[in-house]
Amino acid sequence: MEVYAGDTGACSFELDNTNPPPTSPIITAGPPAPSPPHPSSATESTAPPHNPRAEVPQEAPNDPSDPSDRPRKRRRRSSSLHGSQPGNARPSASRQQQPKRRRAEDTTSPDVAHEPIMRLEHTHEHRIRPSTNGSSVNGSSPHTNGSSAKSTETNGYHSNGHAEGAVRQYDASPFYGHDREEVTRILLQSLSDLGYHGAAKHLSSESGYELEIPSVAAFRSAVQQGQWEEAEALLFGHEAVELDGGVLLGNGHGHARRRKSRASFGSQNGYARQGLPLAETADTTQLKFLLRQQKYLELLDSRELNAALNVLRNELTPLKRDIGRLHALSSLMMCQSASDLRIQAEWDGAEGDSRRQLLSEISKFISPSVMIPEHRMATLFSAVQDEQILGCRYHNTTAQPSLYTDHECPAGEFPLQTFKELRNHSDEVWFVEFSHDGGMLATASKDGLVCLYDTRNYSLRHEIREHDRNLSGDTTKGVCYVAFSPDDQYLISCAQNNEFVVINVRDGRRVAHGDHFDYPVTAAAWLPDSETFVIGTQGSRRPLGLYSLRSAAGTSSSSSSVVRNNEIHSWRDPPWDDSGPADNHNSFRITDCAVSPDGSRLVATTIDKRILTYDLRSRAKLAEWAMDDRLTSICFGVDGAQLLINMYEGRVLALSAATGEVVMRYEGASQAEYVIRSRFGGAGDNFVVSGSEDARVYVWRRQTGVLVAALEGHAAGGGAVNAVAWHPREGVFASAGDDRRVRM
Amino acid sequence: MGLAYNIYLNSKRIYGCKICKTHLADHDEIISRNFRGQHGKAFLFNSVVNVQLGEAGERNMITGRHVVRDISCRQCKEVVGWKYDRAYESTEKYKEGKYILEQELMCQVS
Repeated sequence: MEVYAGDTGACSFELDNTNPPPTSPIITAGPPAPSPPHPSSATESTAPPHNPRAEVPQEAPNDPSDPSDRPRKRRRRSSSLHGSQPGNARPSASRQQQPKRRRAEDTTSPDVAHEPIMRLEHTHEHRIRPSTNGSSVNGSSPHTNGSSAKSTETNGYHSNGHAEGAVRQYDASPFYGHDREEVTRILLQSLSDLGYHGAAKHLSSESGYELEIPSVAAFRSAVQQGQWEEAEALLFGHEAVELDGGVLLGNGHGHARRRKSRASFGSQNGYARQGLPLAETADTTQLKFLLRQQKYLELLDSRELNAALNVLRNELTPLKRDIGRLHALSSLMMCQSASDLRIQAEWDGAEGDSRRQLLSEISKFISPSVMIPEHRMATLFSAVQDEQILGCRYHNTTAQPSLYTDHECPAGEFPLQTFKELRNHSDEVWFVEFSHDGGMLATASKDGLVCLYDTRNYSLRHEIREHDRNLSGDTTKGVCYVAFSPDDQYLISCAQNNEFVVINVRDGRRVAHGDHFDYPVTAAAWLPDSETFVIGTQGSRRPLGLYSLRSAAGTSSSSSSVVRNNEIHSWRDPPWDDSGPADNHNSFRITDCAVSPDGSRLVATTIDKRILTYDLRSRAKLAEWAMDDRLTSICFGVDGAQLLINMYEGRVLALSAATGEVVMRYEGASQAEYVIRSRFGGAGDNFVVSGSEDARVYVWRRQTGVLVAALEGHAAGGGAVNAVAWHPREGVFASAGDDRRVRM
Repeated sequence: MGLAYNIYLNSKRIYGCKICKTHLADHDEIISRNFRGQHGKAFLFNSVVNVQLGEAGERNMITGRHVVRDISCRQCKEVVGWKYDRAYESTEKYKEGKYILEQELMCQVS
């Protein structure tokens, strides 16, 4: 009464009629009358205090009675246990006092409080079950994510089913601050996932908790065997089939017609009558649609066209959902054969994975405390690890950190010191880049030289002076960009004297060049096939062009081995027309360009603050974004999903490559006049590194924007750090500065 | 200093540095053509681009005393004109903050 009175539904005590009176006093509440179906709705959540701290019934006694009474009443097995069984032998005496005490405890026990409402909790004194339930519980770090988050939902149900008697003690003590039942059930799920079924069984018998209530298990097997009506009935309750809308409020009276549908437990918003408790956001029509669609497809698959048609008419259509999909499904009827059907519907057949996928789809909608989301423990672990990785400042590895300890990378492994300085250039160094395999480093400087170094010992391999020709004055030389081809065979160097040169890296000879520009060539980017590349210049006539290393038929230039000006395609905006004498005003000039790693997209920044995106295969313009200020550099992240741009006023931004929205801002660098470049770097692209005009190199964590380091080293006051590059393999990066040095 | 891209103007007639063709000013920005510099004719412009400013100094000009500073092309560093910082005569105040580019040192960049 009292105590339990409230809970009603929740704890229906099994009052098996078989249970003799002794239990009654204890059980109180429950069941004075055999089956007062307490409106289940109420329960749950609300009354923690009264929650019947139903203890877990000892299954045993119940069992025999189960089948019989189950159907009759929805009762939770729980508490009743107390009495019920003869098995009570165990501390029945203590139990008797328990209720009272428990009551007191209930209200007062704060720590048990994870209030899961229907927590089956056991008397505290029986701490018989030490915390070593099941698997490696000890020693693992406590779940930082509270499983208490789930506690508001109904708790799993404790199943009946163990025939053992007495020995089980349902220890109610909370496990290091987490609800014992939730922990145990998650462990059970993980054990089964790992394949240790024997251990799982043993654990469930030892602890008295079951992973899934029988109705869920029945549902699962019904779906997997294709018994759709049964599945539907189990899911919704046999009366719910005709109703629309959200989750029904059931009331406790259930009559479990089927053996298994004793399901109901309260969930906060009530639960379908005799159905499985669904999550709050579940949409029953959607679920029905999914189930029936699968049924339809399977019938089609086995060529029972009439039956399929029936399903389509009588079951799918009345749901009035998703008319488009309905039409698509009906067109599938036209398929000639089963394999045709599969291809058209992108469905892999009844024997295939589709049932399992359907099950996991539906399980997302079932209340999580009843059907635990799949791989819950793994999800929890990953969440914790991700959080630790995000918080780790110097995280420079892609290796999965161990679960044994909290993860924190030491600063020593992060490249913070200069270990080498390269001083080959006689003038400002404007650009630096590592080859894709990390074996070479190329630097470009204002003195017109491109130097290639070997990264093993940083010795100079080649000095390329190609741009020394065609000088019109010594103010216009200067190589502002170099790019390694993806196979590291070729290097493009772009110079201020209006030309670019492609050099074979092995011998330093030039392979191709293009000098039909009027204006300086500013950037280049290779396509993944290592044969075509994009060149951006500041000229309005040919701002962005796609070039190839292969010569087009018959257009070779003077020296036959060198390909010249082989432009395949040129983007201009708007299309060039020769009639205009002056510069086409609307044409754009490119300051930087980049190709996505998969070769599908090209982005370019223009001098008037825009970012243009092109699709490389169709050569069509995809998007154009206007930014606030002038942009000096752009590059893709390794996954092609993010872009990093540098803008004037010292801003470094990461944008989403698909939508152009700012994902993260990195503060600290200063930039006012010059071209400063930044790059992604580090293992897994975890870092963003950029130069700046105050002679420092800035490093931030990519995901969180936290500044990791601001490294000095270039002569302060000497000038800007123009570009940085990160070694693809090792934890090394290079920075190029105006002090004519390249530091590693 | 570091790499810096030039600013480009969009216009029908653009004046640029004779040596390196860097865009300097737009024809529409001319305020007056009635000036003379060290090398001959010069124009007064409202705004110029791609120039670097030099040190300010006082000079006596035909029109009076002014505080001016030389401007040079960003790329080739050649002096192309000057900028008026301050004019002492009230009639010359309109020149303050404006630029003079000498025609001799410029070319037309179409």
